[in-house]
Amino acid sequence: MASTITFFPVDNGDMTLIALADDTTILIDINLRDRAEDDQDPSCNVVKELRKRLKKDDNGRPYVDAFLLSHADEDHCRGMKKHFHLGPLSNYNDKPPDGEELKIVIREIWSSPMMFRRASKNNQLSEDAKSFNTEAKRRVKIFKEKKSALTGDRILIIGEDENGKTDGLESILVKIDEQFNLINGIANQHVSVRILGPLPLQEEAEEEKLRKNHSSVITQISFREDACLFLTGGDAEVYIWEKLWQKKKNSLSEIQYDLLLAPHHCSWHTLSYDSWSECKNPQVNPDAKSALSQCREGGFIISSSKPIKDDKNDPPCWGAKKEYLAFLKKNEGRFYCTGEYPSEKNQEPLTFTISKEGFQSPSKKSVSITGSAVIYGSTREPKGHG
Amino acid sequence: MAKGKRKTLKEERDRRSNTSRKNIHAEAASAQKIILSHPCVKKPLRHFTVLPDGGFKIEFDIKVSLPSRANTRGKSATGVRAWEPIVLMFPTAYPYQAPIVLLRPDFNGTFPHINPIVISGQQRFISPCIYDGSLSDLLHQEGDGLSEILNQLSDWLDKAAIDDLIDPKQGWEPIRRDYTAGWIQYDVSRFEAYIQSEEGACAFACRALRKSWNNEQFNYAWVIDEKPVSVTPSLIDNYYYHKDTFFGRLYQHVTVLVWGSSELINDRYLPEDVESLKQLYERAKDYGVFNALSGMITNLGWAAKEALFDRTTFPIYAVLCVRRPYHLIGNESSLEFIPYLIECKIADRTGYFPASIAMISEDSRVTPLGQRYKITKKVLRRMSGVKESMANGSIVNIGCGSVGSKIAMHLAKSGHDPFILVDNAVFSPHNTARHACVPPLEIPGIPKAALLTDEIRRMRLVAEAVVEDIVEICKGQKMSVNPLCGNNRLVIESTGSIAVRDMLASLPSGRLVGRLLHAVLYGQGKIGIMAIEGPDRSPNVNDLVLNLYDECINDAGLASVLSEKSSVRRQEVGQGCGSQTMVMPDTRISLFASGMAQRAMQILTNNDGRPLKGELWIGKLTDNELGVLWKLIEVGPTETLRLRTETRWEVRISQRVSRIMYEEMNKWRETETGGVLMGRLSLYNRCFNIARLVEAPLDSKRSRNLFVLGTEGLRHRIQEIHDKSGGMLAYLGTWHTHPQGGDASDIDKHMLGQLRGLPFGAPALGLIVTPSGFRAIVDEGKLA
Repeated sequence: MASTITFFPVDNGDMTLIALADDTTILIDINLRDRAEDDQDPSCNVVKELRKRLKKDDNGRPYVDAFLLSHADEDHCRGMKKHFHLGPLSNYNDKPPDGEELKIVIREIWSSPMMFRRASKNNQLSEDAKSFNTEAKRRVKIFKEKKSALTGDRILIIGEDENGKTDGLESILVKIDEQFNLINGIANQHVSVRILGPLPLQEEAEEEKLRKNHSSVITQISFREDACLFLTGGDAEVYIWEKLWQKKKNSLSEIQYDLLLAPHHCSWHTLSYDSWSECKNPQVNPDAKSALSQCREGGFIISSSKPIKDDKNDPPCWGAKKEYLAFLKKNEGRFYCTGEYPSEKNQEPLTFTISKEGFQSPSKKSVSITGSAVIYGSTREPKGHG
Repeated sequence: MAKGKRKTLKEERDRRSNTSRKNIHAEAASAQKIILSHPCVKKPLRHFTVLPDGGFKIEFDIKVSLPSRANTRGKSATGVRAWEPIVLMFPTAYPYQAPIVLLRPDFNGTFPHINPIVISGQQRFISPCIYDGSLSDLLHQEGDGLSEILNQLSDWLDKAAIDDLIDPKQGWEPIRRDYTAGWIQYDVSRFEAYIQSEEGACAFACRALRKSWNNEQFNYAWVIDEKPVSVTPSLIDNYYYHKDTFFGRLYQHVTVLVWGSSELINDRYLPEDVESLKQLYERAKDYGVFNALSGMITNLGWAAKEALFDRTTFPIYAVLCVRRPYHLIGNESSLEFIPYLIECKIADRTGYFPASIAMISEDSRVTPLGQRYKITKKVLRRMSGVKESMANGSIVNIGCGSVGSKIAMHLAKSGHDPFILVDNAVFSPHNTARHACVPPLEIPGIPKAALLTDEIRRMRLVAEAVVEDIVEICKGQKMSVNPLCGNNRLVIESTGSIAVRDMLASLPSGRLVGRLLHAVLYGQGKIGIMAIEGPDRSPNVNDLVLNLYDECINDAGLASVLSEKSSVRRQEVGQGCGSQTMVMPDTRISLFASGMAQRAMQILTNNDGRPLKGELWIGKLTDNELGVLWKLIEVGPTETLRLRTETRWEVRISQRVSRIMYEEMNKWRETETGGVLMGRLSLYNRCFNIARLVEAPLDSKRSRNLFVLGTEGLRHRIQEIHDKSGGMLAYLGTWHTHPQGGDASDIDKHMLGQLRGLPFGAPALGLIVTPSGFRAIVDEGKLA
């Protein structure tokens, strides 16, 4: 089967699963809220939907080959502690207590060096983010000690850290502007990942700016030798995109896309320094807009957010959607919002299929009149043998 | 209601006023509503047409999701459009028969999952294979199956748009042949063996059944033995051969197999639209088999001419072998075989060859055929879900009656062989009521073993009939002809004869190779017994049956069925002729035989499924007579003791009894103890088989050197066991312990002397238990 990329309806949060034709899986961010597991709750049971799409290893443990955390905000790592195995694989519990499911194994972590930063007043971490940091540090430590690591202990560090904190880690470090296709130690034929961010710190005073702009891992993921390009950048906001444009305006192919995950859940601040709700005439920053508008013919922009309404809310922001629609129109592209797919009341994961001619959006299906969407529990007739 | 929807319905109303009301299919209106409600269907529908046969046709456009960069062009690189026109042909029998899905005639046909071309009117339509199964079933599996069919269609088109209809991981999808007017059977692996690296061809003799149904011609062919034949006039002469059967007319025909050079790998799907020999030649060029095919057809034309063949047409089956880039789905081989039927028309000349040689017209009609695997062990196993590997060794069936034939057929149908079928009885007409086979009416007197062998061989399995009395075989001296001494894996005895069972029990393990499974029904099929011997024939079949009798003591129902004297009766099978048999329906025998075959299969199939202990299975017919409840009693190895006297009496002690005796000995320590032995005695096998002990009465005396068995209540207790077991467990003698060891003392011999003179000259056993084993002394009673 062809490779796919799935966006889950996780409210204002991100969760993207890439499932390659060779069964390799890459998960980018998670936002697994407890209420999403409740079948009585009308929102999509994303835990079930995610687990359904994961492979199991020889021991029957669900796993992802790689997990990329764009940045440590709660809406990008919620559920880490509850649903993922943290610690060495030798501690894996194959018999979880009643009512709990097997934890998901992360074969390789992809993380920016943020886990080296201490929590501070400006850098407060959620429980899930702390657990992730501990796990990432554990893996770095193993590498430092053994100079190599096996499945379940592997880590890739995305971007060099300042002050030489990543010195000695060169062989597990991917520098900004580099491309790689090694996933959990195996070179992959279907995908190649270009690292565009986090932007390196150039001066001391910049740190605060980057922090305020939600510095995140930014990647351009290329499928089938650039047949499909996916651009994703966590919550990165206007300053970062402005800087990226200045850096890349002469090498546009590196920021082009057929599919863009609108940064920060379609926030206005991705495109503008002005406030959407307070400013009377908020202005779009032309450089940030340029950085995000390198859409190829017929491309898609996805807002991983609540439904987008024509109001003062931000994110998701009506104004940002309008901007995106404007440059999609030029390319005959389309806009999707996970909170509205296929409808606001009945949300489902949104899956794009990867082809030689770009991404293919899903067709709408006729919903079964006896299916679970109508009542919980299916009444499909079992097929017998005559 | 959507505007478009309203318009279509109005159109239909208008149409109705023009057409006679009764001509419109009752489901036509709702089918249109369902189609309109699908989110991918363009509103309004394009056309609704009532078909002359009572069915109807709905035409509409469906939205296909094109990949992002194809969107502006409105067409994908594979030629799929953003809006694809669809024709759904609803048959009269709708909704009990699904509509046929047709795509536009110029739809790209080079996809996998496409059915052969459908011709409607003057047009040829591509019919996508949108569902792996019956569309009619899909229609009913969901409450709204028509929408599900549209979902599947939409899915198929979306995949076609991005060329994702095939998953190379699963393998190459062979060209679809689900709806063809017939098929041809051949052994693919044997065909594969003929394929060489250079382009080539060979011919095979085949047999074909041709018949007409509803004005359509159907052809079913069967390549006889996959051995190439040379194309000569005499081969064509055989075309005159035909035989009318109940099933249709049976012909002798020719199948040609053609293949291309190994350098030619074909990785393109081509739509199945061949209708004439001319088109087949074109297709053969695509597949790189043209020279081989045309050469072969030319040869056949020459042979037909030489044979002075006086018909204008004759059929040839052609199988085109195409090399694919990777293995076929569910198969290790990458060779795809594509069969056709060519209705050769004799002509004066063709475009390809000089008239003097070839006479077969290029207009000759060609139809695609389906393919069926020939029945093979592999096919039988796959259909039965049996793992491919199985240990070597024969299955010997002793007894080919109703129970035996059913067990053998079950095993054969799940791909087990080789069989050796032993039975000396001749199939008598009344056997038909319960036997697994039915003999041909015109041949009387077929031995049961031969009939069953024939039936199993028709499944292309190995079977051999031994029409002899098993007792005579075993008691004869010729080991070479004794089927029990071969490389056997399982010996199934279902004769229902106690003599045969006793005889088998008496054989030393070297003369009965393979695990013995004894199967028998009792009480008009109320009880079924399956006894499977342990390793090295310990316990043996008689030891196991003894456990059944012992079971009766606590199960009065079982005892009463086993002791029903009236269940086997003489049944009249002809005037003055009778047969001793049990009256019961075929269904009841099947209930038991299928369970027995199931257990046999587990033993045969599993890596080594032979049980480590003996097994006694007691099957009871449930009260509603719909099923059988099987109870398992596992029996450990039997201790055997053979006397060194001239008569070599054998004493068999079940593991359970032997344990009790040792426990007793340990309990009384230095003091001798003992009791009474009960079980089965066989004068002919010279065997005491001990099943049970009766405790020593209270007035027994135990001392260091002497044990004196009391009498208080003993006779009553022995009688009770005898009666409860239905008379099957009898008094055998006594036992006592020698905790210090040592053989029978004079006192013991004296005691046995007292036993001597049991009524009616019954032999008696004195068993002594010592820490180092058993000792026995036997009084032979009337045999002395």
